[in-house]
Amino acid sequence: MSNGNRKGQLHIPGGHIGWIEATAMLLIYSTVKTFYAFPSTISKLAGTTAWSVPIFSALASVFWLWALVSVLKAHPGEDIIAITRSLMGPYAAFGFGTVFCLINIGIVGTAAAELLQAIGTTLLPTTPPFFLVALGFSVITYVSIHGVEVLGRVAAIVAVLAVGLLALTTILSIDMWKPASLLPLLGPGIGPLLKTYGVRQAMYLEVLPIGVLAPYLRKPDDSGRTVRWAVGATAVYSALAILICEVMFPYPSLNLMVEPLQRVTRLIYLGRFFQRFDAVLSPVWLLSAMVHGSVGVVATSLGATSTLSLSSPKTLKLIIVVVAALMTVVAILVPNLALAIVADFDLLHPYSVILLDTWPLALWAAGRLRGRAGRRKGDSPG
Amino acid sequence: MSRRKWLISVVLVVTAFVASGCWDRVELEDVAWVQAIGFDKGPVEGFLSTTMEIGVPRNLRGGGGPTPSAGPSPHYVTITVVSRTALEALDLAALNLGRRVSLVHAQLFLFGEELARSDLRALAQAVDRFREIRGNTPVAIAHGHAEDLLRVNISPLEVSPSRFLMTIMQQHEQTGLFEKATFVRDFVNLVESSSSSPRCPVLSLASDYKPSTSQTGGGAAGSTGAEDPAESFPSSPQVGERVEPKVDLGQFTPSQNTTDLEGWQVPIAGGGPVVMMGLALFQGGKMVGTLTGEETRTVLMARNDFENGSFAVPDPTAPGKPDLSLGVGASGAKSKVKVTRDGDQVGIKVDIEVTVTYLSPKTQTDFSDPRMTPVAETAIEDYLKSILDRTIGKCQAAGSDVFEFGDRVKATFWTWPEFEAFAWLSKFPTAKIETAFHAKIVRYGLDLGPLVVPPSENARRQ
Repeated sequence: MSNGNRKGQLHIPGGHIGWIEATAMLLIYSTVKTFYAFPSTISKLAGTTAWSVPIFSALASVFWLWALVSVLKAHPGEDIIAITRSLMGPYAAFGFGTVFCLINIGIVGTAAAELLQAIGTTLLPTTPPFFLVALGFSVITYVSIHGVEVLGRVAAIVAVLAVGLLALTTILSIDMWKPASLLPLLGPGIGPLLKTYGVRQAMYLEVLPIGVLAPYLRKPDDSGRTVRWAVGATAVYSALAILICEVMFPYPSLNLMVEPLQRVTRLIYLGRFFQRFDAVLSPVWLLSAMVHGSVGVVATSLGATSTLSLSSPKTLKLIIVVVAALMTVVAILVPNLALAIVADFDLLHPYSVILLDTWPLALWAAGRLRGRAGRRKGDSPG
Repeated sequence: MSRRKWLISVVLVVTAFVASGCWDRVELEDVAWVQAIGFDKGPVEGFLSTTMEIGVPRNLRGGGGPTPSAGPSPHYVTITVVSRTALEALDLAALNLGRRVSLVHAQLFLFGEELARSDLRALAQAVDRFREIRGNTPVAIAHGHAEDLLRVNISPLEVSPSRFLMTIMQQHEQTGLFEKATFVRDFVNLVESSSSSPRCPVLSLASDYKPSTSQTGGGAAGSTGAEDPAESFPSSPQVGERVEPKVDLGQFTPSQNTTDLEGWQVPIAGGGPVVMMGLALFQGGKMVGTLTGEETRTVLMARNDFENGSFAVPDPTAPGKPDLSLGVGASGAKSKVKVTRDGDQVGIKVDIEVTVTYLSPKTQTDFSDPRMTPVAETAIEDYLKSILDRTIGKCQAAGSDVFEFGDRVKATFWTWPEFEAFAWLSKFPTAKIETAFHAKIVRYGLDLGPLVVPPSENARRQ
């Protein structure tokens, strides 16, 4: 399959990735929030059962994920915006494409704002924030311009590091765990829990970029496998990250923390040599943040080019720069951590559920209707 | 090289300089590294006395010792600053020391007893939030004033105060006479907890400590820089000096030992000027009482946190003879806690299994005889149970659940709102708590039976 000659599709140099690279990209894009306030936010909602939210929310996401994959498989070589255009018309495609881009700009922008605050608080307190943002987005732009394949390979390496870091954190912190922190077993109660599982499907919002990455998969049918692995790995990774934070900082202490996972690593002490385990966390954290930003920039740029039906590689590079600049602006405009958390966890993610639960299913339904109509047309005599 | 590669190289080189923060670098020699920090109530309500023990690295190198030109130099200096907050104290200390004060390597947070009894909640939060503080820095309570402890806080065996703090903390594993270091983060978690109460080890001045003449006359020696404060404390007492107990040992029951005291009461002469023993009990952020060393051991046993310790159990075959005892050692204890709840009434059953070895029995009875094993085991069980019951009573009276029974009570609820509404910590004082010990003697030592009493001596006694 070639991506270069389709209308609305771009040729990105070396633009083919396997399902493992795609999974890694989505895994990093979905799980980097565990480095920030995500565990605390989920703890506020689900109390002692916060660890279960990623798992049950994944189960609740099955319908729209299935619809998304079905639609992508039915239109190999096309991205979700192009599919929307062919099934629902150009206005719907423009509207969906715009929302898709804004969401991704919001995701990366608020995450960058959180990272900026975190770095400014603990790692580089005297370095000017603008310099950090500019440096970060320079790296992100540089990686993004090199295309999906390069990004996919980098993501695969960083995903291994991130998973390894979490495994190491688990092992090294296990003697400090307080399992009683997971009691009472139903946390805030069944009603609030079910509501949380439903609304927090939005934590898988970051899987939606498969809609624009699918055409770059070497095998078009791999989109299903990619989504299954990405969601499964994200569920396990996020659940474990939240669990570690919960048993280290029993509810309600966890609610107050901004970067609980970083705090966990700061508590690990293995003699004088290994007492600064956060020095291991920080590089992996920063690498993950760079990959996260790059995936966001690439997904947004691909979404924007598809929405605007632009097809020149040079245009894509220009759009990548513009998107990265927009994200930089969002990161700087969010003036403090509290606002970044509110913007992300109280506005962006929860309200995205509406899009996730309707759009893929609507596309799937439209595809079915179009198929039936086509069959009837074909069956009719003459 | 292409222009692009040049550009990238230049960006990387510039970035390397900028990212490393070269424009606002701080040299190691420009920083005063605080090794321990203590807080006391200030001279006026609303003020805080912050004492910092700051290492003098050049004197720590190579074991320190006097420098020929400048005379004896201290391994550390202490500075006490009165301010409304600890943060201001750091700034004020920097003005005095001429260096930026850093808490990155602080090894201990010490709170004076009076301050702890008022309320530590706000201060603990402030400490925990400060970015230089690591959550794994130990917290302790000072019997008396933290500033006094930090001015003499040195062992004759260690050069560095921080090294001493690390090694003294390790004695928890060998003795069980104080709780394993409570960390800043644990303390803060417990202050917020609805299921258990905070607690801290207690650090006190040794019972034989007397301020030296230089300290009574011209202020603390450590802070003057004229003399090492550790050297002002006589590590080896003078010939003829005797231990002067601060408690009336004559009032002790035959089963009571000096491990059943608080640190400042331990009859001791020489050695180091401080003792770490016992546990401070808290209700929320307020300190409400203390436990002795022996009582602390039973708390640790009930929580499965006890590692090692030796006990002198009264000889069950010679009840009227306090000079005879079973010297036994225990390694670990397995505790099973069962909780039942009927409305507001909570019933707790604590079953503790202790594996015991004879270490140095001081007795005339042959306890290596298998028929005597149940007798010895019962004596050990009774001894430990009596201490545990007394400790539980003390904690219930203080309203401080340092046993973490609340974690078990939580398991009887399905949801958090139900548990919170139950308000366990207010029910703890009225909970019915039953205890049982099961001792198992596994090793009898290297000798069988007591020393033989020759028939002639028996005859002489008769």
